[in-house]
Amino acid sequence: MDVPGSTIAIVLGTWGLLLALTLLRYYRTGENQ
Amino acid sequence: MTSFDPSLLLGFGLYLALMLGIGIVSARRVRRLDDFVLGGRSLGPWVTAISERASGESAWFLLGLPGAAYGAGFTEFWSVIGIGFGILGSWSLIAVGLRRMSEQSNSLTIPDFLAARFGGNTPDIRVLATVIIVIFYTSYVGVQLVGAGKVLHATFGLDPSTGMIIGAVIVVFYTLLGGFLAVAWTDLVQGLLMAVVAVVLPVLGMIHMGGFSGVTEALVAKGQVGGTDFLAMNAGQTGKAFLFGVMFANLSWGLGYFGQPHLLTRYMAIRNVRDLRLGTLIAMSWVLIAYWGAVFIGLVAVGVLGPDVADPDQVMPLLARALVPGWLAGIFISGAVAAIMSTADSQIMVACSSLVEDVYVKLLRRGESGRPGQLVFLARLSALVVTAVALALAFANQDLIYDMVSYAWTGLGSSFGPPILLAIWWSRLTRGGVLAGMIVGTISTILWKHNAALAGFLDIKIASFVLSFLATWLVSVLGIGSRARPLPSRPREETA
Repeated sequence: MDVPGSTIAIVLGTWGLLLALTLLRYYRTGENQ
Repeated sequence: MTSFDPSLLLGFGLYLALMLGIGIVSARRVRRLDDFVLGGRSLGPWVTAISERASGESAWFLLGLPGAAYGAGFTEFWSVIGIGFGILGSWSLIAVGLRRMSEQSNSLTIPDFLAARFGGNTPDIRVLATVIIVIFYTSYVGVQLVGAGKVLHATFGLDPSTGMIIGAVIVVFYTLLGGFLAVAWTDLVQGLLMAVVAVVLPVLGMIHMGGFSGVTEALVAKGQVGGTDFLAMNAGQTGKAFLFGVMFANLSWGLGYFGQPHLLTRYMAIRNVRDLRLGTLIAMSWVLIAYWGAVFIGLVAVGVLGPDVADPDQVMPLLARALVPGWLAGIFISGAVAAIMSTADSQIMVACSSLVEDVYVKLLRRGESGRPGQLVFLARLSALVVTAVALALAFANQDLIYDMVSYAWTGLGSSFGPPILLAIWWSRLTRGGVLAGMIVGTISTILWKHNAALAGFLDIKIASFVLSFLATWLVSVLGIGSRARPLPSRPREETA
């Protein structure tokens, strides 16, 4: 039996969202903070 | 416990030698109190970020979390998701402001920082904050030592009391010698070790099971015995029971990160504000790699070890011994000890820093600092006393300190979180507001712990944080107590 789609969506989706927010913060903050 | 394998000792010995070596080397750089308490604000982004992460994750990370995932399946990801957002929130909303303001006011501790927002001459804030810190952290350190005793007992067959004493001696040795720098550098090594364990064990486990399908089959089989679906994330609940009892209750672990002094002091110790940008990226990479991996340790263990491990907290050490050679398993199991030590050392530092800086220097000596060497001596003495009291508590009454520690995460998070957030972002904050937030955060945590009706109504972690936030805000809006000093102006991009 496979892992349900909702589980995959939550586990991988939040992982991706956190990564995206982290990268967004890193690049938006700028070099000259 | 399975039979003892002497080669485990080799790996553990390597780990110990490295920790003690770092303590001895960093001792040479401690000359003044701020060297001992904040490492002279000299940390680079890597040490700051990884040591913050290692300190943030105690025995729970490599023992409790895999154990919980072993017993509940994918549902355990909710707490990890909440924690991920909490850590990102703390690095994004607190780090820059706390680093800048604490340097401007020359604050060395969190009570020091809160007091300085009101000009420094606020013994009420300083005393209340120090009392909360010393009470929670002494028992918190005690529980870490109990944890060290358990791991050493399960791995090497040592008597748990002997294990507790060994743990206390190691941690006090390097903390006493090297202070904050030794704590931060040992935490760097320990944080990297924890991440390696959290990645390598699940991967080896999956190879052992012949791919992920082997693991899911084992999870389905284990779920069928208990009647819950281990692959779903609702823990067998639906509707309101799922939303509040499972999802929000677990997500809200993340709120605690806003108010843990042993983590927030890391932001104060970084060498410059600019490095916090890279620090955030490093800390979050650690979270995305190690946290997601730690849950998979528990999931994979269901397949490799079978569904009937008696003590789920032992799945990580058992998995290591099942999958890798003895000496390497010794190093991996040191990862669990590392998780414990890296938390205990930072907590000892926070308690002893507050005793010396807030009580001795600022209250008793009214800011006249004595000779640098004398203050460092006092800080070392307090570190010894805090560890000795923690050890005595651990021996005297484990139930008592377990009770205390069950308050600690939520209590510290909600007593300090809202006042610190508002101290950084809100210019209308008042002295009365800070006191109200600390008092309401502590009292609501205690009330919720003892009242099942309240706990059933709303999860303790959400309730106490929100109440503390409202109390801080309301008392400030009513204008009770003096206004905080104006927020320092900063270039726009720095607030992003």
